[in-house]
Amino acid sequence: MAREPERSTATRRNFMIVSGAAGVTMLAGCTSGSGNNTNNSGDGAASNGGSVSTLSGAGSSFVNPLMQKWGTEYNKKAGVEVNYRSIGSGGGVSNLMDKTVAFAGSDAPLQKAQYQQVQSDGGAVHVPESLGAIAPVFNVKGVSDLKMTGEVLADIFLGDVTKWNDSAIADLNPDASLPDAEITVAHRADASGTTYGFTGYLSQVSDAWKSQVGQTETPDWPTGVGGKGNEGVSSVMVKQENAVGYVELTYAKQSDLDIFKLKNRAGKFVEATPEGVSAAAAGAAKDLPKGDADWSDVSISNAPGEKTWPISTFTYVIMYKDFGKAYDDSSNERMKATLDFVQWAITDGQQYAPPLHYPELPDSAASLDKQTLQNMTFNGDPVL
Amino acid sequence: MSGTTESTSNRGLVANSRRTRLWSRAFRGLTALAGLVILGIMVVILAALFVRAMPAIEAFGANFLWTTKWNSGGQFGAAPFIAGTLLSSAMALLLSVPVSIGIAILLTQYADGAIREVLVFAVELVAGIPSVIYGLWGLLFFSPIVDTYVVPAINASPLGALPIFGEQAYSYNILLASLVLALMVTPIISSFSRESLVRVPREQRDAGIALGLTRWEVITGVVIPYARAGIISAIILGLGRAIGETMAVTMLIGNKPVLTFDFFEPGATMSSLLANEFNQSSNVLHNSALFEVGLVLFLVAFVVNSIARLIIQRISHEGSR
Amino acid sequence: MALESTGRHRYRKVKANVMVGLTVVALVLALIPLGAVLYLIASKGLAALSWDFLTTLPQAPMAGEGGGGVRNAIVGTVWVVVIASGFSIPIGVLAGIYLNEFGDNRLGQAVRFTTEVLSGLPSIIAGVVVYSIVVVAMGDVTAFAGGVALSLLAIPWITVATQDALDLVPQANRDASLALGVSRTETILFVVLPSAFGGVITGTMLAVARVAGETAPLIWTVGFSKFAFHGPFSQTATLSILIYNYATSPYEAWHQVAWGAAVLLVGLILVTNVVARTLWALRRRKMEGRG
Repeated sequence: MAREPERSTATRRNFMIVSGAAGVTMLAGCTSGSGNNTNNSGDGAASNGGSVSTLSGAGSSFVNPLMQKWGTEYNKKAGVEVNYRSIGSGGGVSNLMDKTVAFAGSDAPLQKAQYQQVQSDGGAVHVPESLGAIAPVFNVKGVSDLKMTGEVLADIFLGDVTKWNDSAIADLNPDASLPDAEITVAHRADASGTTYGFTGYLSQVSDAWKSQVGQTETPDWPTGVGGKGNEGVSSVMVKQENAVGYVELTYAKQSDLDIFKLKNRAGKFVEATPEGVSAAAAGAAKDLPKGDADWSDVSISNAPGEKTWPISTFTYVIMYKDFGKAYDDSSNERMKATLDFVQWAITDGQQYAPPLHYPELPDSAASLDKQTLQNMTFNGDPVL
Repeated sequence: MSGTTESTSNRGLVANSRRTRLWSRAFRGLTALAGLVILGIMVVILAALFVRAMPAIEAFGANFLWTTKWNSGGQFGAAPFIAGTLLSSAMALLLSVPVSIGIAILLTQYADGAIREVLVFAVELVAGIPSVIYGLWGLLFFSPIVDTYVVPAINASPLGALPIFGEQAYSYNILLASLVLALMVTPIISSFSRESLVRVPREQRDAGIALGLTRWEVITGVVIPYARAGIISAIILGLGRAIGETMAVTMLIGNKPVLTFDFFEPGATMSSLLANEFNQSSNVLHNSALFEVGLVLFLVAFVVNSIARLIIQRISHEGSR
Repeated sequence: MALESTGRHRYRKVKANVMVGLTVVALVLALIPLGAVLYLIASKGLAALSWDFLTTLPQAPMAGEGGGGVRNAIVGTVWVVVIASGFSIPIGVLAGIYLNEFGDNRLGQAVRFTTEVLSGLPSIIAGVVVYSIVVVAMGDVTAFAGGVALSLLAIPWITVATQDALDLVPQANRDASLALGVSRTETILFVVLPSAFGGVITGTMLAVARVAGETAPLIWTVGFSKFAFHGPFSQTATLSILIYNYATSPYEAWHQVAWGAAVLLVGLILVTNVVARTLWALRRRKMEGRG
């Protein structure tokens, strides 16, 4: 059969060009890798004895700004890439249970049932690596300074107070010109440690909230719209007028959101600041349990003190206590790399916290953490 | 002729050797294997969804489909998402079908030559833009426009009195998602409709013109009825696409897993639920319920697409008679 | 005949013209948003493009850094698309050959029907299924898993495109070859396929371009990374996931980057579409010229 070669050669040529370009890009991508010897079989598990250059973590969006900063700085220092995905505390713990990450970030400690569950894998440890303020925020045109109490906040989130000019809010703020508008409640759509802390506080200050909803990462929200992660709620708050929500302090600052002045346990209306969180942690920090114990009762919420910020929380790195028992790792390389990172985070890493509106870890928590890390083992042998 | 035979025999293409026959059989087997792979994919998808959904299926039974509570007190129900999928798809079709058919008519009955090529290309381009970019555009550009112009317009008009348009307007809602969805399914409905309209024999149209009908009357009275089945299948295919659409909807619908029939409220679809919540929970039942929603989504898309394809098959069989 | 002067006729004519006008309105309604999208992508996206943008890694504005670049996302997208092509092109082309050349039987009917239905597979389902099998088995999200998920979408498209391209080759060509004693396989490989090659390439390029823009299958299979690409068996950034993450974030710096990535993605798809369709048009013209 006679065929004209030019046409198919032309298409073939184009195909070659495209695949050649793709090939070059791929090669460029390969060689522009981090330069360390990389281990490509999964999550940096060092099955061939090479050193680990990638660590996988996931969870809390509460601590994500700090985690990202740590990732950048630790990479400069140690050459290790810490890949942390901000998917919410619930997602982080879920990934940890699925063993698809080396560590989980969570603002909520493991619940008793989860704590029991990990015992069969050698147990897990809580390492509070940071702490922060949960800030109730609002977006009302023309108003940037409002006082609030826990009970009224609970009523708003319960859907019992529905308008901005409701007497409950107006009485607290007689000088503010509150609009006659519906309040749009913004909350988390995903399983959230921030929610755990926020609902924990609401349960403490409002019997109505405690009986109707309670403290949980995934409440049955009586009203409102959901955002994914602290990032999602921030987006909603920025966009939606007459909205009320709760985000970690860094997000409120970075998105320029107005924060309520909240009445704390001592009766003072305080602003959300890192100092307020440090004050909240001051008392509790001495009574923290051992690293591998059950942390489900730990709380620095609604703490006593004149300057305390009432909605404060630790945020934890949760890891399996013994990577050898929990994972398929053939050597302790990955565990060592993980512990090195966490150790750095609770010591040198703390300097990056204040610029991002997180307080530094109290000394007692830091030394407890160091002890916890020292006690972690790989198949029974100490790692650090 | 003889030159050709020589060249073919020089290239050894004559199939009188066992080796050639063997290669032939092997090649045919290979292609059949590829076909089997496709069947296998279908089976694997169904099996994977089914197996993972089993715990939820056993726990909730058929009630799953109309339980309206999602992740509440251990209960999981798909009703909010099935409703969200249906509402957004229905609204998208309502808006898109007249536009799509209008475009199809314009491009097959009126436009011609280079202009038609360009316009066809332009409409196809709408389909070529990835869904996530429509989401980006919707989030950062279109949403404020809807808030400022469309929502007040609806509220001011008699439509505002309908129960499907409530009071409270949240920026990310079912309406916004439906509008963008309508835009996205228009190329599909339009291009399949175009194919059907083009197939209408000239004689039919000429007969209409000979009877003194205006061009438009020829279209509505002769061409469209003739192409009816194809247009219907085009619409159903558009529905199928709308049902499966994920990214733009996820980014614009507000993601509230609560049953609602109010287009101004945020909602969720089956696909947006999976895009948002999948594998975030350590609750086995929760994850299983998500797989069950995936199974329902897959089956619904399967049925809708099958209906459309069956209609198309029937038309092409009739056509070749 | 006095038909034209009757009122009714004038009404019908006016109505006809009005209706044509309405179809034009319909076209405009569809094209205005397209124009808006393209304009925004062009203006905001091109503003974000720069050499730095293309060669640096993502940064974290929440950590006080800038918006960053998309270097690893470009590489990641290429890899994921290549992996997907590696699976879907052989399977799709071979299956298309089967359907058109050998498919006149029950198996062919089943495959044909399944292919058409699978081409409407919701993209999120591809990701969910591949997660439950590949990601769980491999213990981590990887570019490889993402490629597999994308290929689930691309296989039906390429199969249909191949089938259509082969269908266009006149039966006479096949018959002539077979009459000369050439085996069926060699007929397909050396007679039919070369003629259909342009159509197959076109369909494949369109499918690959479409797959490059897909996001849903990648969410749970590839994850995301702000670090350089590490090979197909690790997490990686991709342009589509980057756009998704950044667009839904509250950081203005990331919104700019998202527009930039959108320009790259749409540019790639646009160019591929134009090239593929021009090839197709040239080929059609050549074929019509011959016939």
